[in-house]
Amino acid sequence: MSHLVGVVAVLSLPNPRPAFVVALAAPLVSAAWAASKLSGGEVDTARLDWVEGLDLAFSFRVGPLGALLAVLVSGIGVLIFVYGHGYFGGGDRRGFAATLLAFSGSMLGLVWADDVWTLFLFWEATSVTSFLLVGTKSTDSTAVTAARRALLVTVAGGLVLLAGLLVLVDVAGTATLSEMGPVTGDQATVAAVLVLVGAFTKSAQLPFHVWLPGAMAAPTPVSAYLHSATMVKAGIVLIGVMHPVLGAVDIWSGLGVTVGLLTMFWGAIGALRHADAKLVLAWGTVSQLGLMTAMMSLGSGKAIFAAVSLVVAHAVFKAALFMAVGEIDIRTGSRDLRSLSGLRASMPVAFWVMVFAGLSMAGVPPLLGFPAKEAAIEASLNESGASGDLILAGVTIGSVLTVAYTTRLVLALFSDKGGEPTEVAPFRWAAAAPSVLLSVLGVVGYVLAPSVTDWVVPAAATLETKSAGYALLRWPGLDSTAFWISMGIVAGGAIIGAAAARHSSPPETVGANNVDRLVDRTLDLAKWITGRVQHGSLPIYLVVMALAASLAVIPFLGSIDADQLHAWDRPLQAGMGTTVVAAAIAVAVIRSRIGAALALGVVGLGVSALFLIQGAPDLALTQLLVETVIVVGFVIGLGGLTTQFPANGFVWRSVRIGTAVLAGAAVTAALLASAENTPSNREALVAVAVDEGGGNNLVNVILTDLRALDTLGEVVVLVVAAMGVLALSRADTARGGGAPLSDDVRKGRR
Amino acid sequence: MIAQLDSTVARPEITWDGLLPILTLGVGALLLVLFRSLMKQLPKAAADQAVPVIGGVTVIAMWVVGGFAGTDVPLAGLRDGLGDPVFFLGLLIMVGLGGWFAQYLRLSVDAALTVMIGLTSLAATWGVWTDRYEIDGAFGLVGDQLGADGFSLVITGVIASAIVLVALLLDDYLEREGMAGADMYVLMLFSGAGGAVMASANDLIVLFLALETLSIAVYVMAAMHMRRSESQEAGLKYFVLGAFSSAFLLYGIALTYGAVGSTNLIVIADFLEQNRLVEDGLLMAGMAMLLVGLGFKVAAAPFHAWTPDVYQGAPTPVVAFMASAVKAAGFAALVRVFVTTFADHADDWQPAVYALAILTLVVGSFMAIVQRDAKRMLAYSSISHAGFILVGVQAASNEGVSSVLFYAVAYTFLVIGSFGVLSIVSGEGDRGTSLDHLDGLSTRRPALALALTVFLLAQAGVPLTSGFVAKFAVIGAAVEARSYWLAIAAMVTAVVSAFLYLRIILSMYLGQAEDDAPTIRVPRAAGLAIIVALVITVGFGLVPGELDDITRDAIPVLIAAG
Repeated sequence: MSHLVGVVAVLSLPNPRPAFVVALAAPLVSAAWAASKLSGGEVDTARLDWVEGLDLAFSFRVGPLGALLAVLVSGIGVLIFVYGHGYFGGGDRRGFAATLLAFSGSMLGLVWADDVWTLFLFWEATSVTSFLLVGTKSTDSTAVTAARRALLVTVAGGLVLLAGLLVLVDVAGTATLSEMGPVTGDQATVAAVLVLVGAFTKSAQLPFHVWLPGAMAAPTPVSAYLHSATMVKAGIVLIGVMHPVLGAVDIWSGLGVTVGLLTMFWGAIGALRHADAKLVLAWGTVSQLGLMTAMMSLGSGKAIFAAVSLVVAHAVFKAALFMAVGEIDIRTGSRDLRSLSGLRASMPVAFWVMVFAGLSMAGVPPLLGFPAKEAAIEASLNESGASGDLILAGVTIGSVLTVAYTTRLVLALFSDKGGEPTEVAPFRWAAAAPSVLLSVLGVVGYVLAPSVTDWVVPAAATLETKSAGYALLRWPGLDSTAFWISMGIVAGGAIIGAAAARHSSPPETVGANNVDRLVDRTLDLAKWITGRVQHGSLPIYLVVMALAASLAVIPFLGSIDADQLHAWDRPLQAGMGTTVVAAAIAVAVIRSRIGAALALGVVGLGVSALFLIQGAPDLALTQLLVETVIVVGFVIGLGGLTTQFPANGFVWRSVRIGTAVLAGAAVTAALLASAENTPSNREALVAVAVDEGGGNNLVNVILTDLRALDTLGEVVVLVVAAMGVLALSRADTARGGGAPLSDDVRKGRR
Repeated sequence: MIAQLDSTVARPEITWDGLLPILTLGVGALLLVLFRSLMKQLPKAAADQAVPVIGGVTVIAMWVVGGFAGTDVPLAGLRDGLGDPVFFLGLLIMVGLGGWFAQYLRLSVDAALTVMIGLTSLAATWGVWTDRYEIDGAFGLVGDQLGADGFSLVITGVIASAIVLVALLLDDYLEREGMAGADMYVLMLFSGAGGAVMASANDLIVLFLALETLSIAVYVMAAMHMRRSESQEAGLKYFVLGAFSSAFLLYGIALTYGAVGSTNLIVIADFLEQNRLVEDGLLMAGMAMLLVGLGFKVAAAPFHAWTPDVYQGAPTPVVAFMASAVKAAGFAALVRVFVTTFADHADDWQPAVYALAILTLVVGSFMAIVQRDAKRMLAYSSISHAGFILVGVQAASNEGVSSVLFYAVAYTFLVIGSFGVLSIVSGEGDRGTSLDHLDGLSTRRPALALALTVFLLAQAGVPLTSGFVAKFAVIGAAVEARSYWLAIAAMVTAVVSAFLYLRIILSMYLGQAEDDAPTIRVPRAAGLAIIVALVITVGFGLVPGELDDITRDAIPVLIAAG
């Protein structure tokens, strides 16, 4: 709630200066509130029915996990606002601060949601607000492209998630998360895959990771926030809250762990290849998210515990790293590992922040990252069998590379490259203080590991009760296998990293281009289809419509019963029928307009003769009248046109003839296929005609009596048509008319 | 009626009070013609004096007609009301306010009268709903040729609201384009009356006639802008293609009559319920033709081809009317004929509607994203919305019908708002409808830009707008009917369309306006229409419960008088 108030407050600020200061009040309040919930253990719920008929509700539930995540989201949010104040310096940033606040509020809603639809709504809200944040430098075309890419991937993922949730609610029978029991079966498998894919897109797992490095076009406060505590963690949180429901599905942990470990590996490789410090961090984030995904979906008590610990540790050190890089960026104007030089002396604060936060990321004691990573390694050790070995190998290799890219980043960024040291702008407290605080927190968290355990364990236990027995260990002891693996990782990684710091291969964005190309191709395709289908020519529209309608007849071609058909009842019918057909063909071939109109009249006369032969003189009479009026109308109307039809090309003419023949054939087929089902109404009509209608001409009785309302309706239609014609002619004379017609219209008049 | 073989001819029950919502529109149109021909001799200044009077009369007419509607006692409300001094005073104040407001909006006489007729019809609809439908349920009109059920009442209400809002938009537009006069309003009222009859029709012939009344008026409205050749082209194309599709519809009616022996929807439904046709080829062909004809009216692919051309060419407020009222009436007919009447043959028509829906969704969304003209974009997007509504029709269930209604109501206000903004921005001759003309609108006219943003977000289905709830309801109905693929297709195309709306929004906020861009004047009446649409869009988005209840109560039923 406080966030909503905050957004309004920031937007309504008269003076742009204190935007960030006002904005940070909201997360401060929610952080304080959530912190007070941390150790309490009680659960707060709130529910607001929205649309009862559709079972849509806003439902929240703040337990230990919700409180822990809220502390991260809001706590780091506060620091981000402080940092943002320093990063941007002056300028009107009200809109930006408000969007950031809206984003942070959406994230809180997401982690507190107790209803899948609430969760989905806030999930989408984070996508949209993050799109606005990433696209903030809106004049910059790379920022817009990156924002578009991020939105495409995350929104598409959101839809996959929606599909998954629809299926899940169908299986589970409820939309409330806390009421869902474990589900299994085919439908649950489908739901599991869809939900996992949704989570992968948000948490930048292979192959959906492409949007994340691109999103680095955003201002650093955004990157620091989105890629440490929020946005990307949404997927991890989703996997976590779905664990009690879908964890029992076979494919769940297999798919999650495989994709997670592959992402961890590929992300680390990416981090080693780039020379832009921020991109290195972005790829590092992809890699870390891979580890968290793997742990969260592995699903054993220890693994879930490790995942939650990693979420906490990562939020703290990654935010610090981004902030430090951002500070370097604004003070030197560059983030290039190859060109920056002499920063160790000129920017000591940033240096030490990077060192501490980097060590935490590498998992070196005495920093919070160490016990978290220990937990992950132990969780992998606990897995048995070949898959267990594979998981251990994956985690180990990934961690070695993590140490390597961290080492490389710190060494390359702060080494002296020879030549002049890079020029550095004056120091800004607001930009530096939050990162210092966070890097110190890394140490404090290690020292106070038992307290951190008290927060993490109940949170993990809400997802998996078996997590309750574990703790973050400051010093696992020399006889622990995990410890030695851990030390080996650090040593190996440091060597590789130091070597890599000297070489930088040119970066290349593999994959990201494919997404952009996909978008471009789609646009091209759409353009091509539009060009083909929507050409503006009236006759072609008519042809398409006639063809489509003719297709409707195909289904009952099979039911034509040839035995029931006979050629004619009386020979005269054959003669009349031939006349009608001949006149119809004449209409199509005669070049003279008036001749065609007369031929059309012959068709009508022939039909009325057929009626007569059939024994319906009143119907025939009516038809005759109508035909006469139409022919007269044609003769009057044709006065303004040339006497001859314009010539048509052979192809176009053939197409039109073909369509006409096809439509005729379709109608014939439809009639042939249908046998008479119901007795004719004729007898009944004749019976009432004299008694009720008082007339002998059946058609007249129908028009004036039996269906008089319809006749009234016809009159209304005529009145409207007359008024329309009147209005048009009046509008035409009022303006002198004479406006040139476009080509299409002329074509249409042929 | 054919069944009435008694020698004493039964007199059909007209039920005037239930007919009032429709009657108000139709008779109102005639009165408007009459009034204008009488007023013609008066100078314009004198005519303007009449505007506040019309405003006051509007309040009284709403009260009297609304009170009468649904009850058999004429003027009952009048007697009771006049006896109560507090009420009487309140009424007087309202009358005064109505007069002042009409004056404040600077409405022309024609627009003021049209608004009056629309509001009165709305009040009558409300009266029938609360005084009769909620108490007694559905009932027949005019010897059961029409039926007043919740469904037809909601659609009639939608059409009446559309008439009011479009009249507000038209007022300044006609003045600006030098087209001032009553013609457009008269045609719109006739068209609206036709639409209301269409939504209530219990007989295929009545339905056809209503559709013709609706369509012919709209053909002319599309062509009314004589100085724009695009407008004439639009009118001609719409007319020729529309006549073609009407022929299909009529043929479908004939075939259905041949198969079932009646054009009365009640008789058809009963017949199909009690009989299994051995040879149903005729009925199938009839249903196919009916689907083609109605598919054209709602702009379902592949019968959509006219939409972009006509929407782009026709005067913008007329487009707002076509996309709202005409489309709502078309879907009303579709639901009445297929979901309700052919309920027992749902297995036969569902696959066809399924295919139409997917095609419509794909065509509407994919072809929209490459357009450069905002009006044309919205034309395509209206096609994709039609696809969404078809998803609800396809479900062939009560959930499906109420989701269709919800969508129709929500979309009506959305689309009138969207085209309303475009109409103001495009300037004289409707020239400025391309994306370039929207560049930098946020700095030139922040309020307009914000309004259009909300409408577009709602069209995209962003939560907290009516558009989201509408899409959710439709997709929910599809999932309930186990049409999973259709639901997924709808969601995928929704993403594609989201890009289209995003493009418009981006150009409004990020584009740079040219220095010589004309200043945009926002007339009061059009501004009011946009505000109303905005409030309803956001309101139904935040608190959709009420509308959802109404649409759930409004399932169409076919009833025959006992």
